[in-house]
Amino acid sequence: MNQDARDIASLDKTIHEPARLVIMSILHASDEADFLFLTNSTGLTKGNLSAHIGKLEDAGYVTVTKSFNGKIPHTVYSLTRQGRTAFARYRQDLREIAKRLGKAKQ
Amino acid sequence: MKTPKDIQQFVQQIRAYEYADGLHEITLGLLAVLTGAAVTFHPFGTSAMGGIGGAVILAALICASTWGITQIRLRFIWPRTGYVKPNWAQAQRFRFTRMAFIVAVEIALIVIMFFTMGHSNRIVVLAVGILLFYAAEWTYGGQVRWLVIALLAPVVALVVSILPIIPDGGVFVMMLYMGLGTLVNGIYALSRYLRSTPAEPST
Repeated sequence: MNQDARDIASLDKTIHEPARLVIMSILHASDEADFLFLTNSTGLTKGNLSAHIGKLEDAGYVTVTKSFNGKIPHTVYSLTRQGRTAFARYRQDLREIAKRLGKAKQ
Repeated sequence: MKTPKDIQQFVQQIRAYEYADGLHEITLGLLAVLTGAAVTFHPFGTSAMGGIGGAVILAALICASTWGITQIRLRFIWPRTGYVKPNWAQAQRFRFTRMAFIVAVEIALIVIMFFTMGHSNRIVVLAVGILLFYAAEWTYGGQVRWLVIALLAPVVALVVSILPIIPDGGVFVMMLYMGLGTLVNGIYALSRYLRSTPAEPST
């Protein structure tokens, strides 16, 4: 395997999955967002969104805060410091790979 | 699934979301009309104490409206569309230099306006202030309706300067333009927002 292929393979797979990348992008752009906002913004089904958020939570990238608005449950998500660092690193890695692939094409 | 073009697009969307329900504009519009009326008709008198009293009441109104907006969103808006809090640090970084420049220019203009200028010049300065303020907000949140208010401000100022309305009423007319323009935009945004977002229980 050459260097470029190794770099691509070494990308953070927890973030690299498209649905989770969208979730991470939204949470990166915000301080916190609730389940309904994420459902509307991503277009994912509730079950699918829950599953992906569960994986991000397991990786320590997302923190979940559950509360009640009156009698209605309200779940709010935000990126942890680890999640923000991982996302910044992922973006940097991707940018470098894209730059090298661009040079290789020329 | 919706696919992002880039992170900046999400940042822009989330900023715009903060203003999508029009509540900020409704509040700003009402406060602008009240401020314009207070500055022109002096309901608390023209003494320093009257000015301080007016400023205290304005500050109290701003605090009360901020609290009121949160309560309305908590009960009626967020259960429909979900809740998101923009990343304060990112938003501030983005707007800081632009807003700092505009605030500095506006403070300088206000000081010059009230201490050295005549009536017609005050209208010009107000028009520039309104144009700068709304143009800055447009670049921040991306709502075209703000740009429209910004671009129409010099036109209204020109009309106010040409037409003899009421003595010293030009400033009030300009504030009324800003307030009512913002208020109408806010009400339109709110009605469109409520129509486009059916109620849905949050989970």
